[in-house]
Amino acid sequence: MIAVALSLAILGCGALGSIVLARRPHAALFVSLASIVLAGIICCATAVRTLLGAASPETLSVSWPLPIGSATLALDGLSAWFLLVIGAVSTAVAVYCWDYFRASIGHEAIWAATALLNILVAAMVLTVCAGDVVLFMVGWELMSLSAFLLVGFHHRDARTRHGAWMYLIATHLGTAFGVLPVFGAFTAATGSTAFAGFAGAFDPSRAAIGAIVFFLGLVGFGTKAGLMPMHVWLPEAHPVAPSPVSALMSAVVIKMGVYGLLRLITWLPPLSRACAVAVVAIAVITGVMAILYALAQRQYKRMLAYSSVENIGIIILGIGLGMLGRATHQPILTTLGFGGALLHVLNHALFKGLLFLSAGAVLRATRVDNVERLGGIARSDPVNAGLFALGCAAICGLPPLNGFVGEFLIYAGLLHGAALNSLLVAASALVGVAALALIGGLALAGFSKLYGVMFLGEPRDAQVRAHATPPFMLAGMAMLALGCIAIAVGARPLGGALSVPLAVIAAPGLDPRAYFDAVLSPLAWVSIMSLLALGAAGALVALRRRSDRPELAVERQSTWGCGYSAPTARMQYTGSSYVWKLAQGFRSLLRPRRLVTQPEGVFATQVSLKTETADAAIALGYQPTFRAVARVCERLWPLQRGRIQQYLMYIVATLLIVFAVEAWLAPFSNESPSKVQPDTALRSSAPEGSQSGGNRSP
Amino acid sequence: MNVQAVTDSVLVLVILLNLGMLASSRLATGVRLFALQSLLLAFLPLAEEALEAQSPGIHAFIIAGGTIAMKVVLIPYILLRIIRTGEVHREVEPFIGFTASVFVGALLVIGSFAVAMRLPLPAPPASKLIVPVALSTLLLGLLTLVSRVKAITQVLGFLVLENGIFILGLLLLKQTPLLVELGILLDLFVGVFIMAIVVYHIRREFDHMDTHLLDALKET
Repeated sequence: MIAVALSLAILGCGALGSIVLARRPHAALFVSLASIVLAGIICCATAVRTLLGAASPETLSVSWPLPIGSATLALDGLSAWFLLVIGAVSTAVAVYCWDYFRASIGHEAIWAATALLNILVAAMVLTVCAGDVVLFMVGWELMSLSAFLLVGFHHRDARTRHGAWMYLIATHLGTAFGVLPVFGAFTAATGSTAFAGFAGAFDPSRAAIGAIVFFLGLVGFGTKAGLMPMHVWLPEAHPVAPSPVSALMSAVVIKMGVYGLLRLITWLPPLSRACAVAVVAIAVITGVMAILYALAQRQYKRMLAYSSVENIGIIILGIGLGMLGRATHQPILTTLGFGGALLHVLNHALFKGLLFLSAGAVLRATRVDNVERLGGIARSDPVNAGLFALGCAAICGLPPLNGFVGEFLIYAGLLHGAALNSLLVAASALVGVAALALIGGLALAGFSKLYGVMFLGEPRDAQVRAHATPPFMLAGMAMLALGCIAIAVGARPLGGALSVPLAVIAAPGLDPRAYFDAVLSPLAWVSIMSLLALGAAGALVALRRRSDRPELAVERQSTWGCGYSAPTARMQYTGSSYVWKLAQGFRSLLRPRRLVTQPEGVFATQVSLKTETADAAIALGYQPTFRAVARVCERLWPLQRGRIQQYLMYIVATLLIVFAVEAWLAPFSNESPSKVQPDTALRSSAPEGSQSGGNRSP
Repeated sequence: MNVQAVTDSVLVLVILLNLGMLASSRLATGVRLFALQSLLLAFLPLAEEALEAQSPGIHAFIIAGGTIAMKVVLIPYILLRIIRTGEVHREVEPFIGFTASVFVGALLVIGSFAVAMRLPLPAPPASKLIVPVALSTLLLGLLTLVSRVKAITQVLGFLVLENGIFILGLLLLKQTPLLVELGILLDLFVGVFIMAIVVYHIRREFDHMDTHLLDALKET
């Protein structure tokens, strides 16, 4: 527990050091990144110790000058799991940042970015380790604000400002209408702000209240996590943030929403089946719609952001499955659902962090954010291409990588659920299986498009130049890639580590290890078989290369050359044409807008085709709502005359009203003063004073 | 004539001076009335201690001395100087006329007496007039701020408002550390100093001291 406080202190020192050393940017960069790495390693070590059962859950209370709440840090299995995610990803991101930010020293205020990175990581550590509502909210808000400032780092660009504001507004709306009411309900029910007393605050017999609190939490924490339809800030904020920040946000910050939701579930009694089915439905819609939107994107960071929404869908699907298990008292569903969700949290953090960092390296080298202008980067930057390919394979859930392990747990759980003899549960579990399969297939299409168009083929735009990625950036990515492989290889011991956070979420007395072993043993076979297949394919290629047959002489041609006498790069498949068939198939869901100028005459001069896919949640939900709010607010403009006397008059009027309310209604005083005061106060002198005022008035 | 009666008459005089400031259209008169009011107020901390049958402490003397130096000598001097060099001597077109503002001011005085009777207080006041006089001085200062146009009268309104806070502070004299009181005086001085500079610049830019033209920042 001391270790958590220590890492918080280190991060604070890193932030301060970065600010103090602002005049010496290299030193500032080094100090702040080193502190993140150090704190990240400490966090990982502490988390691993707790997850392996070497350290029992502990709390640390510090005296606190505020009248409300208490400064209590608590570390249990669930916190430790998320602490592991935070520590692992932030360490890798900090290593990456060294080369990423060093090049822009002198152009930008790098010290501010790295100081904010320290604060962001510290805020997340605080959030997952808080044992009290007030401390949690401090961490939560600090996280939102530092992430907002980091997203808006390139604030001279209007799109960046838009994305940053959107994030800030979304996260604050979620906090105001979801998170705070939930904590308010718990605090009112228990009369204290300590998390320790929240479990069992609501009676299982009054299921309706539990359900209302849960769905409020789903809105609040879901906004942070990016659940549909509260996901709209992700595709705006992630593409405009500096790439390490996007990686950190997509990999870790949005997981804080998942943490909040899981923490909420541990406090609530088991909810009804209908609630669980509703969660599964939301998760399915989120996953499928998000991956469809991802297919239609042309900006690769935006596509990755939509893919994050899709993965949140998968995680929530796991949580919904776990809730189904709790509702139907099927421990295997609980174990596999929550376990799969937790594992996917870690997996997604690793591969999405890797993909964003890798995409960031491409963006930094080419300064182009549109896939349709890229191509052939694998030739100029082969290591980065390999790492990106690994990330793509992992995110598509291909064996033997880690994405497969997490999704396998959820698949297994869903299939177990489908065998239950309750129509509602079985039907929703089957829908979940189908949706997960559909998501997997579409993700494969989307990421093969992304990789193919960006890295393979020929450069589509002669002006775009790519170059090899600097070593520290590669090192940061490699750490995440190694994590992806390590989880796939060490899937079996992972079952033991997962049972510690599961013991917090699910009912105690449950032994998840047996279920994990039952599911993970066939998984090992799948992994081994796929490794063998990969190895065989690799051996074949190597053999073919070695064999020195003249008729198979390999010469390098331009990709898609196909024997044309004068091939140009524009003959290649574009990203849009690659997924055209799929996008057509889901036309009714995506509703793309086509702006066509039809060719006229024999030698048509003006022909154009433009398609764009607007997010339905924005176009149909948020835009009309916010327009209406703005219209109402415009009515208040006459109040603003810009005249100082008028503003002062508003202040006077407010003051008078406050006086009057206090004097006659006395809402703020504890005793009942209005009855007592006249005796002790100024009965004798009052008429004299008012008269003296009145004498002069005519 | 005991101390109690003197204190009460001083407080009544303070209100009368407030109304006098509202009624006068000449800027210089307003500043002089303010100086007189501050002089009266400066003796209140001494009277306060005398009321409780003890010889006035060093604390009260410092406050009185600081008030006289600041509000009776220095600030009126600055303001009168601006008025002289600015060649603006009258408030010409106030938002609320002079007679009307005296009437509104009288209403506010009545209102503050009504409110003060009902306000819960941390400690019983030394004189029963202190709270209503403080409130009415405060409100009349705000009324000056709202109803007048010239920048000098704005400063004057702010100063009267501060005098109201000063009277209210007498209630808590025992609890308020000396440092805080002196800090408030210093703040006031710096505030007036800055406002004097601003007024000077307004006049140089626009050749007058109206705040009419300072509304360019409004929403359209």
